[in-house]
Amino acid sequence: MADGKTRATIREFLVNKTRNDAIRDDDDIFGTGMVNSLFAVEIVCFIEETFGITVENEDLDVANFRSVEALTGFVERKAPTK
Amino acid sequence: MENANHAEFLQFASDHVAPQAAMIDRTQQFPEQLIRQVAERGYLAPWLPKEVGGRNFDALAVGLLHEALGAACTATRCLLTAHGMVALSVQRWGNAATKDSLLKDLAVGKKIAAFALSEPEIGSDAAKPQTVARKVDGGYQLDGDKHWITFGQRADTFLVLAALDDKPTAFIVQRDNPGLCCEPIDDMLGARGAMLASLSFNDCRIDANDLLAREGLGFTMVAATALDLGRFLVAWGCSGLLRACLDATVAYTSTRRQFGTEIRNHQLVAQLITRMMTAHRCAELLCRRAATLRNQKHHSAVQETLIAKYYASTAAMQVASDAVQLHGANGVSDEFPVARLFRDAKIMEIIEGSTQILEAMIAQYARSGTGQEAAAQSTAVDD
Repeated sequence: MADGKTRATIREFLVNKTRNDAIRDDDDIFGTGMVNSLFAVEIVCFIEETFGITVENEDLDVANFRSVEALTGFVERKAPTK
Repeated sequence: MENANHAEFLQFASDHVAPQAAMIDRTQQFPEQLIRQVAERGYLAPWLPKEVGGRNFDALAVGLLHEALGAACTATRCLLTAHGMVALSVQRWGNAATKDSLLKDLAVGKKIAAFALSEPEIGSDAAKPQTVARKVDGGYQLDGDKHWITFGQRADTFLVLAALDDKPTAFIVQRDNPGLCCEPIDDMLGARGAMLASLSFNDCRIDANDLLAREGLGFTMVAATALDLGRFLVAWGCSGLLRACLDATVAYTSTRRQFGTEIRNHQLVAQLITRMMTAHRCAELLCRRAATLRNQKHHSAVQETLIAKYYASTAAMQVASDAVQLHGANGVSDEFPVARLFRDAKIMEIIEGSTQILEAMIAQYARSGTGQEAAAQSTAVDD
């Protein structure tokens, strides 16, 4: 999946989840107060389901998950050929 | 596959578990032989791959197993739930060394595990443990107390959430650690065979490899993932408990005679039985929906599991109450199983997210776009 489509897919999920279409690519989703304690688990499920990758122990860095920008970068690094 | 597995679970529950349920409840002790029996069948963490001793079950099969055990004996279902939450955490977030040393032992029951999250002053706000972890040479040191730990009296291995630099972090601690002391908690209202314990950690030294996931991610990743599984398994257990209440009540009202006829023939009795049966079917359908979404690895599975647990646990309490009511004085004696089911049902409204916490979370889900999207797609989910 090309970078643009990856970004758009992630952005669509997060906008849909938070009901905030003003989210910018570098906004800290965890800092919005619009998500609950299950959000991290949902994000992992979404990434694994949508992009066919497995989030491993070594991937567990909040910096990988906190924004559209971070998630896009993580997915592209994890599945560069997708 | 589902029917074959379900028949196996129901047979095991009927032959080996249900006959012991009253004794386990009365003595507040869980038989070692029953632990061995569930372990031998690969029921302790049955989703694990066969190469490590699991049975490679999908979510529906795991749910049906917990339904069968939830109907037969809540304590047995609690054993599998607590143990499974730790096994999943190790599978998902353990480092290579931890997986190598622990996963197979958990799968085959060589070690029994307990999930140490609650504390004397920490319940629903579990992301802020007062148990403290400090970095020391070669690893960590834990100090603090845990409370209400299911199968804490029996467990060989504990998953412990502690604050490391004020950030919740998950660790594995073995029972034989000299810095760990376990004390039984008896005389609970329900789930009396779940061998609860309080744990005290005093200068409890553990190895650096005993860290799960990363420092600071003990709640957002480890506990959240484990509690998601726990809610799924409790929901299925409640579905089983509902079935047990319904079966017991149908049997009782079909033989108990008042006013010259079996009491099932009285319309207000029939009304309650109708409500009980409908509640059971609704709970099972929500559990099946959650299982299907989990098998699809759908991101909505987490939130739909909340709904299943919320509905199934509150319905279990209501239906168990109705079952006791229709048994009359017999319902509050130990001659019939419904008194135990009633006491166990109340516990289900408290564990793995209280009813009120789940109501807050489900309302948040309803307001989100993903919740409305899932509702729109609900008719498309089919197992």
